[in-house]
Amino acid sequence: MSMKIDKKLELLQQIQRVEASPHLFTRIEARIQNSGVERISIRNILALGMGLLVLLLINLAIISNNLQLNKSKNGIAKSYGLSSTNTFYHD
Amino acid sequence: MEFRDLFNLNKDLVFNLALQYVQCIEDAEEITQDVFMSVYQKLDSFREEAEYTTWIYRITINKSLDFIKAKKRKKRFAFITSLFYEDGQSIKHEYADFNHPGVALEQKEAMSSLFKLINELPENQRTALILMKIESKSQKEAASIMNLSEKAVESLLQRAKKNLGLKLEQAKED
Repeated sequence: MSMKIDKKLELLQQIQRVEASPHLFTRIEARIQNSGVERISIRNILALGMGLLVLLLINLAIISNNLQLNKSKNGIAKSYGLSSTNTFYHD
Repeated sequence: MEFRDLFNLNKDLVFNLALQYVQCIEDAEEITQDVFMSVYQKLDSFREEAEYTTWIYRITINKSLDFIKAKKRKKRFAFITSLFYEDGQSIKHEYADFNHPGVALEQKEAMSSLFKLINELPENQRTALILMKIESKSQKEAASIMNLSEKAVESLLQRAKKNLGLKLEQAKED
């Protein structure tokens, strides 16, 4: 059976190569324009990522700074026996 | 490499490979466009781990198989919608007959019968057969394109031949 199949498959070797239509590139260009596809470059993605990372780090720094500030405010107020808030009464 | 140059170098490769899957000029042209759209979108992220040609072969194979699956879904949908047609007429969805421009007229019938059986093979077996028996790729090249070992490709080809043999026997009995 194997030889029989091999013989049948020899037919496939007679398939001729065909040239693609020269107008295909024009059609592809039109599709690219119509779809509004932009080539997203890796560089742009990296730049955006870095920018977001920098923003995140700045935010974290600010939050961390605020926390430390509150800590030191409370510390100073406590050493003088004062309250760090403006309330004159307790609920 | 510029997109236009890439297109000019590879358009015939893509078109002919697509033809082996769909055996129809219009469908092969549509697949070719899909392939180069994909190439255009992914060109910047191509890491050159494989050669351009291998990469383009892989995209073409995937796009061809996707196209065939989509066509089968449309056919199923067409059949279902035809059941609901009031006046009894069925919706005619035209599907191209065997129209492979690389096949000589005198061989059209024999080739059409052979491709009918090839088209029924599982995707991987079909791809291995097309790459090695029509595209004349070596086992090593086919393995590189399919991202498989050479042994795996050899096994796929053997199974494809076995399945074709069984289908031929069945066709004779019918």
